[in-house]
Amino acid sequence: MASTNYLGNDWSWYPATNESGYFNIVSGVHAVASRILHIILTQPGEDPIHPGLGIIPNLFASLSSDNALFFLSNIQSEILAWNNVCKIGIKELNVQIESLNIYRNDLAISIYFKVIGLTNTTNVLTFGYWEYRGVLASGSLTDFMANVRLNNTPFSSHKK
Amino acid sequence: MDINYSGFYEMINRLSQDGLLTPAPDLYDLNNEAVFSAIMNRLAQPLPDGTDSPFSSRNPLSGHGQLVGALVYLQSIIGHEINLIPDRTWLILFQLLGIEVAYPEFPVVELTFYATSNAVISRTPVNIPVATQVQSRRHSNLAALTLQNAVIQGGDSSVTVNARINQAGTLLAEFDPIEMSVLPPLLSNIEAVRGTSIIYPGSKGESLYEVMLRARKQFQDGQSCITPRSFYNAALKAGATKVNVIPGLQLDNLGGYYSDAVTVVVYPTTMSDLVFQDLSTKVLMGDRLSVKPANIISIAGYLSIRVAAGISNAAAFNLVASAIQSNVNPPHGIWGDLDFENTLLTAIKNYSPSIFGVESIELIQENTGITLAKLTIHPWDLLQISSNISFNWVR
Repeated sequence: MASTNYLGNDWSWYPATNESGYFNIVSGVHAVASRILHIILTQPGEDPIHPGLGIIPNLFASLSSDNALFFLSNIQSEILAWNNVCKIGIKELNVQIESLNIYRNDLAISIYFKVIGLTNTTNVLTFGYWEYRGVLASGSLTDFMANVRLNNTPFSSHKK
Repeated sequence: MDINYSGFYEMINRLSQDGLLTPAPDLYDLNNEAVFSAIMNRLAQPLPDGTDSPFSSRNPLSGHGQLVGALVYLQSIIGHEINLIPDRTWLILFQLLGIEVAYPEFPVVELTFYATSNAVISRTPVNIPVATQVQSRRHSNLAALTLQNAVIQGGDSSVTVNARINQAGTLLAEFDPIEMSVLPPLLSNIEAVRGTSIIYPGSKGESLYEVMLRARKQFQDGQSCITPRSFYNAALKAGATKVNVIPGLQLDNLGGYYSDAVTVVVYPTTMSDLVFQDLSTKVLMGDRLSVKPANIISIAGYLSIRVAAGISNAAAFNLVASAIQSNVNPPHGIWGDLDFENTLLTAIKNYSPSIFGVESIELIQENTGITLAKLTIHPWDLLQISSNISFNWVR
């Protein structure tokens, strides 16, 4: 992991504390995934000195007006843009939409990324699209975070 | 209930006639990016034990980055508000502190008027009325106006009179008083006029910044005594060499404890009256101030000291005496020293390598013979080793 030292340590807000109740400090691939989550879970204007940061739709945005495919391209360009601005550490990025369970009409967004400095391992960050859209409506991250997986293990269980 | 604002409006009105409202520099430069990266850099410093900071990434896409961003934003809002405070408000605040802006002052030069030879020979007195205007030969706008009536007495050839320049502020660097030599028309019996010297170079007005510096200096100097530290500084400035400030205690009259009382104890003891005169003008109105001379307790007794073998009694005495003189006796030493014996031993032992230490010690108050341990020491006491102390040298 020495080659990802340049990434430094991040305090991740997803979740903000670890099992011991301390700051959830992450590094390496986990830090990159945390930064992607910061982008997708921030509303534009929420970070006042970086007003362009964030992509989560408004609470009262119509559910039918933008579809998952539109969101897909949006999220890809947004992550790449911020990767240029503040060096998230992403080398290659590919965002895909998958149907988890066709009967329940579930949609999963999978973000495949390679990290600069690591060997050609492709990491994948997965989360449910409708749970994501429900974050603002419910005001709670619990449902959303339950289905966020990094490399097929629950995101919150990753250790530094 | 009606609130009477007329006093405030009168003050604003009078201030608006004062003029000299210089543009104030921005107090906060609103460079959010710079402040953000400064804080993030500070957070990313390694911990004292050398390990990585948990916040070592300077990325705005981290929890700490977002919090710092919010902090910088709030700070910039406050900075914006501070920048909006008009000069007039600062002036009022300074005036509440008793500090007035110094306005520009006019330079004053000395002019010499020479009478015509006819007037001198015929012994005719020549009048030069007040506010006679003498122009500069080099600067067309510059003129000097005489400040009083002057007369060249009959038989005298010249008279010298002070005149102020017509422009407030400091004089130009290239100004030479001799350039003030253009006579006004209709001034009879005057041959010539010449500026001879600069009496006062004038001064430009103070900017708000300079007022602020002056205000800060006044507080540092203890122009008004409010905190114990300001009492301390003011007493030192008034001439005391050692000062102890005891808030809450009143030593004179009845004695006792009062929240508005301050006792200042000074050494040398002769300075107490002088210090009181100085401090009583600076203390807040109604506060009780007492300035007391330090109570010097003279200590005599017996010391047995182990010294190096090659050192004579006289040399050992000199060493110990100077150790006491430069570390223990006033103005050195500690106010109300409850551990005086230890202070004395440490001072003697550390003074010179030829002194090995104190074998035994007996200290008494010189006048009464009471042992040191039984004395009640107060914070306003200073202990002083008397010259009557006796030594025994052990080798």
